[in-house]
Amino acid sequence: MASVFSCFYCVFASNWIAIAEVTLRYLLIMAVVGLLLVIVNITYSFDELNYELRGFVEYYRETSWWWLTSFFASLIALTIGSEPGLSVDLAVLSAFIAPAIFYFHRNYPFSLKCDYRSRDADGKTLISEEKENIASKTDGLYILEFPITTGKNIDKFKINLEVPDGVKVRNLPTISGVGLSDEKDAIIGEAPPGGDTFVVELIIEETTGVQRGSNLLVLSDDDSERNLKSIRLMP
Amino acid sequence: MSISRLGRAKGLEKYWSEHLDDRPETAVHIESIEDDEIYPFSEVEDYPFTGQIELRGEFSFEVPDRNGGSFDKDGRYQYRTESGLFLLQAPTDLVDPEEVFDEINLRLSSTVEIEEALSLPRESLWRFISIADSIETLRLRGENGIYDATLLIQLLREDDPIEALDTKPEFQELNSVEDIKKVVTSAEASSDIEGIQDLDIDLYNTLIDEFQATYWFNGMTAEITYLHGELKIDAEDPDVREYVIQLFERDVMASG
Repeated sequence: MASVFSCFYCVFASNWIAIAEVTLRYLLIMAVVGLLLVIVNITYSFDELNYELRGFVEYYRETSWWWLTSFFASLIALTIGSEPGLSVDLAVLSAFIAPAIFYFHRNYPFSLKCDYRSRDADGKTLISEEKENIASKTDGLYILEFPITTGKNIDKFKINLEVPDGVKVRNLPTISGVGLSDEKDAIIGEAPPGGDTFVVELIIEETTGVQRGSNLLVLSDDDSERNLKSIRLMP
Repeated sequence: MSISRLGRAKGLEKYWSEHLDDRPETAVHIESIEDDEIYPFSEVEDYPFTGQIELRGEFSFEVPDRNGGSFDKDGRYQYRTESGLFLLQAPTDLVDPEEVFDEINLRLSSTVEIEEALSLPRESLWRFISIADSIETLRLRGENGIYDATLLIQLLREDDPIEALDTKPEFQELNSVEDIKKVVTSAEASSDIEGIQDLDIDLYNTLIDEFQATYWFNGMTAEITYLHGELKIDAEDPDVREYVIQLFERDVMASG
């Protein structure tokens, strides 16, 4: 038994610096992950985290932060060259990761998503209208379908509506717990228990009619002020 | 038969008076106001608005004639203070109820408005539809398209629904729905289909576009029509009208 201990001692004592470095790195990584989890309060399933990160990547890639940080990280890496060392790698990585973490923290949660579905009078999907986010009216009404995903980490939500002149929001036949605000300028409610996706239907009535150039209906998240969807109402 | 259009308002009783006529430029005039307590029918169990007051009366609406002048036509209104339901019986087909609602809203304080189209929770509306004595039309808009659920129920009663879908001309309409066979297969698996309550509809992701349903009371009928938030009730008799309104208040308005 004594020889086993002495053998362990020989192996570990001679490499204690390397072991300490690995341990420190591990603890550092765990601390960063723990800090991130605390910041975003993620205590849910892997699916939920996956949901959130996918939403984040989707939005982040649309921002100028994405290409700016990619550009600067590449520039730094090229300037420094292939200088070895953990601190150099971290410096290069942080040029890209730090702004991303900051953006994530500022704009969290990303799992509140709002899609747009366009149909003709017979219920057939209008793929071109969906892709271009445009809506045509039928008998003076724009009937818009918004499949909304809240994610399980969102209890209450508020989606602000910016309605162009010439139309008014008429109503919102919806599920229990979700509705229009009294001023009809937001969709508010609680995510349904046991289900995180649902469709809301916004019926918009033409009054004087929209004009080209000022016909955008904008849905944005009240918390993060992120633009969730912009639909162009065709005159 | 008398057709009433349904709207909704909150706290209208504070503002509703003959003084609404102070602005002569509007085309609607409140001719009379009576108030009375509403008594629930014993057939409507758990009615949530017991003791509510109704304001009812007549209004007149100026209808333009061909010579550039106008003539008045009388209609009736009813406002139910607790549920907030506002019923408008338009004086003639020449008058669009929406015009009357708009004219009344012009006269009201900016803090109150009668909504001429109702935001109704789908689950509540579904409950109300499912207690109808007959459903003539029920158009649903799901992920796969718009289809008539009454037709779907007829199809599911066939021995071989998939074959009937392909061969019987009465189900042609359903055939135009994307992935209808998937819908039929999943509905078929649920249980014995007797009515819409047996359809396993995902109301989170299915919209109710339109329905027409009939309710019976003491041998009389009332027909409810819904299209994109607009609701109409067409009743043979005031009692059956009141009965259906109370059902609607209990099943839909109380949770809306």
